[in-house]
Amino acid sequence: MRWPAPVERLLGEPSFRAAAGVLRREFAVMPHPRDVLPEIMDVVSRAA
Amino acid sequence: MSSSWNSSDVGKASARYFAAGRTCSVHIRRRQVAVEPEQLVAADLREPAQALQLLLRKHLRRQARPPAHSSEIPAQEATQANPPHFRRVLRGPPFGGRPAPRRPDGRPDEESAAALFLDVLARPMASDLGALLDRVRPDLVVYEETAVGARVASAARGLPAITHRIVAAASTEAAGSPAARENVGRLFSDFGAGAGGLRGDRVLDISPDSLHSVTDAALVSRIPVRPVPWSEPGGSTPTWLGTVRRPVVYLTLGTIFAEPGTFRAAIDAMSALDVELLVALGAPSTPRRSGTCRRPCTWNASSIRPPCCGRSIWSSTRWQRHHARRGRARPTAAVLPAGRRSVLQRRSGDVGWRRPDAGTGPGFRR
Repeated sequence: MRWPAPVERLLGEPSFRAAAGVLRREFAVMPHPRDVLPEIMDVVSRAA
Repeated sequence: MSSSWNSSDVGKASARYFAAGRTCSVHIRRRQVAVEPEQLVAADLREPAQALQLLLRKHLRRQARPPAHSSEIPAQEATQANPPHFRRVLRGPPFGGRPAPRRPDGRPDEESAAALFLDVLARPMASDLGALLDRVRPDLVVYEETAVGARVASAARGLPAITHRIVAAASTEAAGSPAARENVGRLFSDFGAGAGGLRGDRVLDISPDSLHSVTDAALVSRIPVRPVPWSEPGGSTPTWLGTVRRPVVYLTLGTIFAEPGTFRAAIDAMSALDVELLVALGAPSTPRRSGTCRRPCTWNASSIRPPCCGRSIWSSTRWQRHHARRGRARPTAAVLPAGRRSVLQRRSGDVGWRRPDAGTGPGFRR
């Protein structure tokens, strides 16, 4: 562990905020839990 | 209340559904199926699955009771299948208080981890959960990926199962060495389950593609699902968060790896920064105050709601890579979708990491 060197370096990186934004956009397009229920139900119906 | 619905979306069937009381009835192709929404009961109706879902949603909405994934409503019934002695086993030798076994290159030893999850965890879980499954006879078993015992118990009873993966890599695949596969096969056999093993189930996966390896992202069995922040009832955020003007740093090491020494090093390092520091201590053994922490806090990591903090939070949280990537999966899954800048520190079990220092953002697949 190399505290605090990584902390200081990362805080100054221009890509730091951009990387967080990329993740946020990725998560935003993922289906909400309620929207995957049909796929779950499909598993149930196939097994019946 | 009753309603009808015709749609080609469910195939050639003309589906009508009715909701009456707690039991829903579905009429499809002259066949009637009784449905208890809470039990997710279904019949051999592949095509009308969507209709069934509409019915369930409608029924649940009418009852003002959101589905079980709601962050506000506790589960209807929760049964703990793990026996109390399991924790004692984990805390005793050879596991308790000892560093994780490592390979010569310094990475965690997957064989030892596989033995932990398969021998220590899976067998008592399969035994205890088996009795529960016999009594409840659920229509679907949803199990966390390392809860192998749940898969074994459901397979032994012919019950369908879905994996809920809370990490960004397949733990069961990481433990896919020949010895581990043999161990899995023996486990299934001992409980009377078929030789299906751990692969093949659909996987509810909360990680976006950039947190996956190429292989993981391409899995056809994967069902991407957005993580929804959740906190135990009664959880709150500190009131001072609404009044401070400086940037806020949220520091959590989870509960398993919340060693005082690690906390001390991180807090000392950040004490030189012009920020407010919010620390989720986690383990009871962690010191409750630090001389260098400007805002000593005692919140448990699982009771905090990071996204509720309106200002820019820089979160330092443990995020295991490849083998497990678990532990603080919940705060991590809460922070990352909110777009907060994060420093993720690898811990034992992060066998996929090649760099010893922290990583950031989607590029930390190194």
